[in-house]
Amino acid sequence: MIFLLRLAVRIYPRAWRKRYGTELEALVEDSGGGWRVLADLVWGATKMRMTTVDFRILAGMGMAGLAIAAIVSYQMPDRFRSEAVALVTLGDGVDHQRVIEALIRAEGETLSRTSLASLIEAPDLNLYQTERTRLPLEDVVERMKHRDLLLRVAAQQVRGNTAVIVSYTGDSALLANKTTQKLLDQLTANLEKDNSAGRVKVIDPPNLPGVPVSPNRLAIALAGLIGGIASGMLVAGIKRWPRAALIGAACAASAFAASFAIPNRYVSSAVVQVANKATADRAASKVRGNTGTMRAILDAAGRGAKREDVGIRVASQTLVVTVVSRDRLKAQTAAQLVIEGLRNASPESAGVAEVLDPASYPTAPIFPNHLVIATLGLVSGLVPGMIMQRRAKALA
Amino acid sequence: MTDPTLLVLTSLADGEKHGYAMMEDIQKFAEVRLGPGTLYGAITRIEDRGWIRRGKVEDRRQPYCITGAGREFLEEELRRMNKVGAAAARRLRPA
Repeated sequence: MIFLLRLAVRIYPRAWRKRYGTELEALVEDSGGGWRVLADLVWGATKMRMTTVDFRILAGMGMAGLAIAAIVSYQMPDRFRSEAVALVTLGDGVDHQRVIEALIRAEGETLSRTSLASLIEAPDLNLYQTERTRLPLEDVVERMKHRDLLLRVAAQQVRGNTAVIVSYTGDSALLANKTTQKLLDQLTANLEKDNSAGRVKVIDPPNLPGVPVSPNRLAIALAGLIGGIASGMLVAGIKRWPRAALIGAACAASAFAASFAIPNRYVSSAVVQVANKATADRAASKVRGNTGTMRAILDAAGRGAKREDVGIRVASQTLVVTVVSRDRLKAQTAAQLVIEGLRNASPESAGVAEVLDPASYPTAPIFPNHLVIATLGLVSGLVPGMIMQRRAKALA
Repeated sequence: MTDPTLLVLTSLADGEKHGYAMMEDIQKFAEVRLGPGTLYGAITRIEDRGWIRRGKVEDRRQPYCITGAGREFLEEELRRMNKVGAAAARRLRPA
């Protein structure tokens, strides 16, 4: 108990403890302690902390963060999600595994860059108008694919059939509904041209959403509050540790500047689909094992390219190709060579190999991460700075 | 009366005391047991207002004594309380 009581005394602000700490500890010892005394001390310390400048900074910046986040959240446009569910029934003599394989193929085709780009540019949808004025179409497609679109095969079968969920989140309820309908139509068309699947039956057509799914204004306001408090802690920290903050900032700035001396590395990716997994495995190992092809790919990737920079990952009957290079164009060229290599690797795969996603032109480097390097610089400066400041204080 | 400020000033009105002596004294005359946190919260406020001052430290225990300003404030509060008390007594008396 005495340990807890001493700990409770330590909760009081440092300046207050300097003035009253010793006598309060003596009083706690005289009064004999107990849970009521502990609670009283904790409450007293909390109230005392609320009178400090640090607390006022924290509270003020927290409230400012909350207000800014609330204003920003009301400036953000509402977004609506439309969802549809389709059931893929088993055809005669078709097993579940073949339906799944057909679904994966159809999913790959529906979500390919070419397919999504044509959907974005469809005159009746004309999606992402603002984004398209400032971003390359490839990035807009990526945004659509990873942020707004969902195409999911339900894990469980419904009476031997497989359920597929398609959803799209857009700027208006009508747009979300129309886009989901188009995605569903494409998926259905891709599935039906594949003889291995059965019939596609839409059991839940795309809904016209009435309530927006985002922005979550409460979560944004809460994030603003937390961000404000964190900024307040930063300000209070700078006030308390000015020398450490200065050294930390200097180290962060130096590390950030130095990070630009590190050569950038770009990754180009592509997706190729072949007839089946066995063909995919064979094609991948042939490209990896062919010294001539690999040399040509590494030469195209440019100076310093290694075998590890060329990735060929087999996922069912699709092959995901990645090439890392110091030059974005060279990364793309090398990825195109890998695709050519895969196409030529196996005579039986040549006829059915299909490029779902052509080699991408990387817009941003994957390495170095300037922010991470600057953060590391900040931390490496803060720690010795704090030690130096504490030592200087002790000596004074 | 449970206001820690008035309890501390009342306790110090008859001479200087340190924290534990104040706690014991307050319990005796007001039947209120102030915790160390509450007591020192009051001491901090009162000392900042100049109503008490520090005496000579005795073995980590810091005695406090009431100042002229503190005495004036206590007398003023006492007059106000007496007035309220008298009014309450008058109104509670059966007609």
